[in-house]
Amino acid sequence: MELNRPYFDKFYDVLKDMNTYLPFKYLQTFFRVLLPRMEVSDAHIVRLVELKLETADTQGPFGKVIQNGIESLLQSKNVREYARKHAAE
Amino acid sequence: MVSVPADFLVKAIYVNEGEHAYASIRFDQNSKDWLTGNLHLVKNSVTRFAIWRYFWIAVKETAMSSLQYMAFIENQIPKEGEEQILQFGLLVLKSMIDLYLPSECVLDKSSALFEALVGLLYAGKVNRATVVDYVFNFITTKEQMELVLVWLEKSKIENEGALVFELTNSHKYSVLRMLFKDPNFSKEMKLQVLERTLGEDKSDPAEKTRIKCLSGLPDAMAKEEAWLAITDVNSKESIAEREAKMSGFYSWN
Repeated sequence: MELNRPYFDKFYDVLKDMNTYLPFKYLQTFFRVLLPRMEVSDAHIVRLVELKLETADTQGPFGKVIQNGIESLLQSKNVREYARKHAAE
Repeated sequence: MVSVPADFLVKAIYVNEGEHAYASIRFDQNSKDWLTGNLHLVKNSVTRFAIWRYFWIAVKETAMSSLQYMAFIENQIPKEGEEQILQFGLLVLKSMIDLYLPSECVLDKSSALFEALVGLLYAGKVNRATVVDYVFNFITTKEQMELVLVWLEKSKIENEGALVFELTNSHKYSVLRMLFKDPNFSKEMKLQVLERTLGEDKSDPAEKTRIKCLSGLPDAMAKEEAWLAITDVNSKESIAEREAKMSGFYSWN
């Protein structure tokens, strides 16, 4: 897990360039497989929200990928927090 | 009109008996608790399957704790005789662990699941092929990997000398991928097992397995190399090769 952690941040750093220079289908796979959901921090959700705001066409393919990512991260985070809360009760 | 016995107690309430309605079902906590331990006592398999699915939806909608669903799976999988329900349970397990279980619980739960699935395999009350397809995902401890390496070496699963299951190539590829992510074994040993298992196999699945294995190695240099190859916008590697590197990249170990 320690070895993975640096790449959770790097994932968000490379998204813009990958969207610009690589085939969209490859970006979709990259996003689906490597979106870091093993640990979700608020900072990561903020990174995606910022990226969405910087995207001219939020309803376009890249905008939709980002939006799905935001929803996926929120879902993982909320489900885990709910489980922790119930375990503590 | 038939009366219920005087000492009758309601154990759980399920409001879509027979699955006649499209509905979003929620369960009260007492029902969730009882069904977690006792769903297998419900004779109607349609109802059982529906409750498996409604519980799963409830987890994703934060109406049920993922830890309780995990306990439900651990309790019910060994007792569930219906093939389709078992398959559903095994199918959601991986997502359950990777996406919804609190991270600090993942290794313990994976390890317990591996043991439970091996118990199921040995007992042989269910279709073993279904279980073998999933069991390798949950190898967690060094001892579990050592057991699986014995299976890999023999190309079959045995229990006290009796044949349990003959491994296919696809199972062997899964074991190799898990072995390469495991920090308890040396790189040299892993490469030896890889070559011994794949040998001259140059098929696409074997080649992809080689790539996935190397990108999964738990050392910083291998990770960085794989990352650069995956994200390099000028890379000359094929898309398929780079996608194989992605799928081996993350690990809970």
